[in-house]
Amino acid sequence: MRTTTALIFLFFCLKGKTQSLPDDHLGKNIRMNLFAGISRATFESNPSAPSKFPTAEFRLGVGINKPISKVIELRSRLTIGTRLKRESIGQLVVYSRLDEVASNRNHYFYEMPVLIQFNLPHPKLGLNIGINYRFFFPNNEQVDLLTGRGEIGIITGITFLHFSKFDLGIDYYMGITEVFSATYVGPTSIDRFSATNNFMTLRVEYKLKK
Amino acid sequence: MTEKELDEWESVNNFVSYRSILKSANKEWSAITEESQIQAFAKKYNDILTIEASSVSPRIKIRSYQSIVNRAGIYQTSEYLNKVVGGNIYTIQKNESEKLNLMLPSDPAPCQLARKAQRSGIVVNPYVAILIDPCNSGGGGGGPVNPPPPPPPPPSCQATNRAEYFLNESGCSDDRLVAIFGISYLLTYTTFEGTWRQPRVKIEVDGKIRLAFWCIWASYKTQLEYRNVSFSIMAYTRQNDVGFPTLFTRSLPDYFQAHEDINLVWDRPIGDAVLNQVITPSAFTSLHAEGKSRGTGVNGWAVIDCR
Repeated sequence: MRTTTALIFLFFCLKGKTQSLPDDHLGKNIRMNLFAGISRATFESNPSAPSKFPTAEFRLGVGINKPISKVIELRSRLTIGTRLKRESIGQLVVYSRLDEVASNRNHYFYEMPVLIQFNLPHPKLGLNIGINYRFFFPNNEQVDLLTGRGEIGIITGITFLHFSKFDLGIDYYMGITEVFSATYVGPTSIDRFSATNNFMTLRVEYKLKK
Repeated sequence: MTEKELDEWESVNNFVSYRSILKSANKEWSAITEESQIQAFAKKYNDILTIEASSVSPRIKIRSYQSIVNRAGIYQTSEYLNKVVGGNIYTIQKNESEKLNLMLPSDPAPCQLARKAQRSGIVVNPYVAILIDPCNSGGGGGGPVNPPPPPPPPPSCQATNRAEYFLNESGCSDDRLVAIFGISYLLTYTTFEGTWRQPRVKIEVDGKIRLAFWCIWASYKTQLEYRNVSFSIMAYTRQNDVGFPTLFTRSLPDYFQAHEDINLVWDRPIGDAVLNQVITPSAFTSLHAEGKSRGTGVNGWAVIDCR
């Protein structure tokens, strides 16, 4: 929760700074955009589960880009999203909890990545890497592995810079926070199982100001 | 389990079951030729069988119970002793075992016996379906007119059983909850021979925390443990490609998890898988399991106890 507060604070600091700048300066330094994304989310488990429980995710939000130099810009956004439920696979001995969380209900979340993007002139591509924070909204009626929990991970991606009004890109997220961990008391040994969230997003950003 | 496996199990555990004694009695009975031998036989085995119309009839009629009880009809589940007498199972804490001595299998008035047991604080559960309650049908041997209400029996076991312990620290933030599950389920898989169904049992412990912001519940990593886990459940033994219902009993060693995790899981197949037989997950015959998280404190055990 402290991380959430810190990231929200960071977001509003950046946003606040843009508001305090003169309009012409704002146009040069800060660019706001609308964001939409569609993703394929999976659980990466260790040891590997029989399935990655792939599900669809959708995101909508607003973002800001702040150029730091000619080729480097800082990017962030605040998005609201949903992780859709999928059909249950069933009968997964240790990983039944992952199956349950993937199939019981839709999960809603907000998300805030902070990225550094390197813009290459030829080819016109932007390569980005950063940290992503995501918080799954609470649901006291159906508490599962994701309910009311935050997670942090590494996000990296590529942006196609060919369009004047749009940015198209693909991001890949690797979770660091273990959203699932279990101790399995086996017949001869004690084994540990864990899983993190991963997703790949196809995103579109509509530039509001330039 | 087969007869041979049961014999081996008894031999390894230095245990003589009701089933073994009954087997010996049947052998002796078939060798009897004189009237005087019958009287001596009846005296010797009066506690485990009756002689009716020149044939012997065991006092405990269900084979699965014959296999797990001793001559006195007693078997243990965790901290409890259970005695099978007539159509009832009498259950008492282990430290009050002398009370079970009053429950004699040869008691001529089973209804009075059950009432006497209930007055002594013994939990009485029927283990066979009784369509007409003999104690209320006019022929029960005349108990007291207004007997005291019996203590509530433990709940019936289901295929999925759950218990929780809730530690309400402040009514919101830092509340903790630990849940323990006892789940009977089937693992189904297909080979060239057909569809296999393997009965399994899962014992699972997990903890939850209530966060300060908006009083929301969430899973979290904590130290988890279980103790005193024992259960009996009907599963299958496979003989000549056919699965036969068999009672299985397990007692788990206690487990304390030194590191932190969201889940603690014990999960095993029970009995044999059956091939192309349509079966459903069995309800537990009995189940006792206790689970705790670090957050619920020293005495914060969630307890499942059902029969």
